[in-house]
Amino acid sequence: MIDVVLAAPDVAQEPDLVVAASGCGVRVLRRCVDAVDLLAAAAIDPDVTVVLSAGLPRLSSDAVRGLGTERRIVGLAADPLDATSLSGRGIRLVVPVEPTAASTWSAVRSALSGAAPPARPEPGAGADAAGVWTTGVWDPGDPSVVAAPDHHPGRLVAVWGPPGAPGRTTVAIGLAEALAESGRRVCLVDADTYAPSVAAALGLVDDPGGGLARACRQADTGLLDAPALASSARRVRGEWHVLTGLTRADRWGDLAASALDTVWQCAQAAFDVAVVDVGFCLEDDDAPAAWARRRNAAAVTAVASADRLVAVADASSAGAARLVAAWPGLAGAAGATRTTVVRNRSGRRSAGSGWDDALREFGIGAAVRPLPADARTLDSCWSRGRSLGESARRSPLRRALVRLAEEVVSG
Amino acid sequence: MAGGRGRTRESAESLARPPASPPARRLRRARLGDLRLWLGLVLVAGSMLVGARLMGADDDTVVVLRATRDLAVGAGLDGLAPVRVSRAAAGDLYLEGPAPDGVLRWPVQAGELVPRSAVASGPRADSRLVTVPVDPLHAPPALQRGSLVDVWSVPGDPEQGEPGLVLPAVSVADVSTDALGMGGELAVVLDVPSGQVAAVVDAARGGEVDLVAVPARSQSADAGDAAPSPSPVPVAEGRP
Repeated sequence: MIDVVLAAPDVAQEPDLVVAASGCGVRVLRRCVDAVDLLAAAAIDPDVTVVLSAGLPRLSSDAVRGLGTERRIVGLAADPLDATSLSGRGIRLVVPVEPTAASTWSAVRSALSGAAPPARPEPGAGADAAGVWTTGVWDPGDPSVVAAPDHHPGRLVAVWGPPGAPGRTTVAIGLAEALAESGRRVCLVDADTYAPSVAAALGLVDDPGGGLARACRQADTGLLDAPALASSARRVRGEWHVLTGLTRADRWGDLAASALDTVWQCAQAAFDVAVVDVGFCLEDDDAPAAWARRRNAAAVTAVASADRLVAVADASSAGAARLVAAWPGLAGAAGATRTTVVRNRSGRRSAGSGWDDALREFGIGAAVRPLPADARTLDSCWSRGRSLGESARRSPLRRALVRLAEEVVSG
Repeated sequence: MAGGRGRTRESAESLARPPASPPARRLRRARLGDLRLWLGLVLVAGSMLVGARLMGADDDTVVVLRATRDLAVGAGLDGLAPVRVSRAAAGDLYLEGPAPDGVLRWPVQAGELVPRSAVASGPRADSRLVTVPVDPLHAPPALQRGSLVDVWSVPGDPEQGEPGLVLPAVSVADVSTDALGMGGELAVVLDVPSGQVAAVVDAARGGEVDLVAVPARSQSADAGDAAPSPSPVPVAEGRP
């Protein structure tokens, strides 16, 4: 006898499933009407199996994550699109709704026991390829690699800076532009949930059809893959793409942690390099529940997923002090990821080697690279909505950024 | 970095078709060479031109003449000024410039448009001014210069005959209240066709003369076609 919480209010067969359950060796402990109801029911018993449908109201990937990673979850799919959507939300076992309730329950039981043969649609087969998708358990694997099976996952470069260190966006734009000009397919992602400013810096016109928030919504419903992510991005020039950030900082709730993980995977699948501009705050703030939204999720997940980190600090004593103060937070979120510290706005009168020594004294062994101060050039770039490469190609700052870009992604 | 770049190229080529992104829309600084600027200017100028021509083509006004001072009956057509009015309102009832040779058949006040029908084609060569004595009780009370009257003769002795119409629709050229006759009569100057002078003089001498007012509505018709009797044909609705 299997204990089950059934959450499939949109499935026409649901009443039959309840009636037929006891005859099939299944005990339905509770019928749930939406994801909140399901989370409450599941929280009572960590061992109970969950059977849910793709159309369950408010079922996001965060909600699936809230059910627990160890829990046995079976998705009921009425058609291949349901199956894609369920597996995109992190449900590994998906069975079709069979003609009768009894056969549906036996499909669920065989999926749970691992007896059913895996049935997987051919890559590229869309929702209309119903003949390909037959009975059985569907384990589609990692959704992000479907688009380009031979593609090496690209690099994820997170550009972070401690509080009070201006220049994150400028550095991120400069790196992305330099990498794109060196022949790579680059996506610049604005994941700053406090002061998103990439769109303003590049003079991008508001485009509700794109952006990081749209990609996250798609990831939340399990429909994000590499082509979908690319369609949310906008091509600035050559192979330089931009995934714009929030239009208003108070909409940070649109960026959910579990959706962001999918976004980072898909960005690596669709692009050679993804440069992520993140907010200053890496505190993993307290949330009332595991699935609740957190403002710093974008920065935390990006830094955790990144394989290269750039920490932008101000070339002043205060800048060094702030970097030192924020460093444990970065190390906690990033682990042992290779990090390059940028001593931003360096000039003749700034500390120079003394600044680097101060970092070493506090045990920060990362390589330090200076970027020259050039307020006048940057001011003109920002006021015209143009990048350094577009309006000041020969400036020392731009040349330093090109060198930094190669260094960051090499090796 | 050469190795890394080579690998990147390879992987880019191994993608049969890398996922495509739409191009970004970016703000552009306004330039003088912007085609849209010139297109806009051409549109504005073109629409102004077309609009002006259209309005010009649809000009439905007509220039008519207006009296700048009071004009008496028989006055020449001077002291008129052109004025532009709607053709729909004016029709062809009013005199259009330039002023023709002619005289007024009835008085026109300053500021009034001059009706076509108020103008006689010119001073009548065969017209004579005949002064007749009229008892004020036998003349219309509002008798004045420009009035149209029928002239009736009433024999002094009833045995000599019935009253008879001597002349219909004669214009009054002047009324002199100063020149009272022996019996308190008015001296009324009538504009009489020369062929009819004898009849009028005879009537004045042989008995008494009665002047009968021709109703205002039929004045223009009578004056225009010189109908022998007042006719109620309404033709001059647009008269001032």
